[in-house]
Amino acid sequence: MLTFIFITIGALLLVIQTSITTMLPDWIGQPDLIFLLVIYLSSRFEVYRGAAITLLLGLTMDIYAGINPGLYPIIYLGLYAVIRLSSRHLIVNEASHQPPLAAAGYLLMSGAIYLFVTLTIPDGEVLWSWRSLLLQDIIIAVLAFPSYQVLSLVQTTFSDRRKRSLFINRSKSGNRFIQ
Amino acid sequence: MRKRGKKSRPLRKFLFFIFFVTIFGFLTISSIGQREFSAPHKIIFEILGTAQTGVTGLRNLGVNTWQHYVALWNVRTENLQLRLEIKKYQEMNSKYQEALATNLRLNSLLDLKESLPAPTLTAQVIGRDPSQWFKTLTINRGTSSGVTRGMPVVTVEGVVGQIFDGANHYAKVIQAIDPNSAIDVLVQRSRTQGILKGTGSTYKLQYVVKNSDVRVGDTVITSGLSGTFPKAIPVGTVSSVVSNRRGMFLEIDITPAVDFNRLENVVIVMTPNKLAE
Repeated sequence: MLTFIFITIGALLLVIQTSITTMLPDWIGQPDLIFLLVIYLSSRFEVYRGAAITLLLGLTMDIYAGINPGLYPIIYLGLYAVIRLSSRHLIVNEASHQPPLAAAGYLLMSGAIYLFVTLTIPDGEVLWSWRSLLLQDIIIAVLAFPSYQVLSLVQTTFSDRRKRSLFINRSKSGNRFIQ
Repeated sequence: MRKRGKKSRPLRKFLFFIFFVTIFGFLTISSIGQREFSAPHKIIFEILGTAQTGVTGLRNLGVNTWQHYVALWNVRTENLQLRLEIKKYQEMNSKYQEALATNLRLNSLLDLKESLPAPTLTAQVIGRDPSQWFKTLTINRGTSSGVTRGMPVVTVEGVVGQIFDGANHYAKVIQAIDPNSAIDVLVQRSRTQGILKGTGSTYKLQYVVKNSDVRVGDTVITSGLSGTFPKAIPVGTVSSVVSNRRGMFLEIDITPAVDFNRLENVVIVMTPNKLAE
């Protein structure tokens, strides 16, 4: 259920990102909402479930962003792995650590996309502007904290519900021989 | 029995994950470098495209309502101004009609084939690239309407881009301002030829030798040489020409004829692109 909820959230964010936020003027910038979701999944979800959702988000981003299918699943999963590994040594799954984590992660992802496209795809080019990159980084850092809180709330709500339903099921199927 | 069930749950999860990763890994690796959508890409595209159509419809409704409300503020002054403008444009229109009729007549005499318009298809822009590294659009026409890879996409103002790939009802357009786009163009006045490359918001005209006659304000049109775009579609206007000491080519910036931020409807020229197939 939780997986499905987060996949739906991802799809919804992507639709908003391709239809609504693109109307914002360039000087405001366009927040990368899917990226924030990936950061959240990396720092708070169970390993396998988080990786599965991240892969699906990458596949979906492939359709709408760029012209190199296969780019985003690799980049997102790489980012996921880096944040997962760093979270073993650093405490990055707290809300207060999300803004610097998201900002650093975005710079890392931008560099990875640039390298991946220019090195692996013949004649592949990427738009690179330090101004828009830093602007985007600031937006992501600002949005990281509230988005973390909202997603955390969603996760807690649906996790509790799941536990409750499991508990009820378990109590019902206690003694099968009496039935 | 319960204990075994508990133990096997992580194993099942792990096996499910391995299965999932293998499938996605296979899909991902197989799609790298092909520049084509795979079947899962197309399925997701179809589903999300429908959602995008709905959200875009709602957005347009909101924008239209707001614009109509704001328009009432200065409607009287604007009305007078518009009446004056209509008169001016009516005069201009009659001149253009005459010029157009003459042009059409001469064109048909010179080359009957060129005067025949290619089949076209209108489409609505329902989404834009969510990343800041690429410039693409999503439109609500796909392979079921006969849209294929490489078909040119234009508006009344000029060139928009080319079809990259599509699903049944939706297609993705790579905009001419994307750095991966390259179009063969001509400077209309001097007939100087060059390659137009996107820079994200404008164009650069490349491979134009230093002794070429290119000036600021010159109009740039498609050359029709590559066989992708029809000839003489406006592309933009020359905004700067720089001749550096080093190198043999001019550095030319072009301002696009199309406002890519305000694209709502586009026209697909339904000529199959042999180079893209």
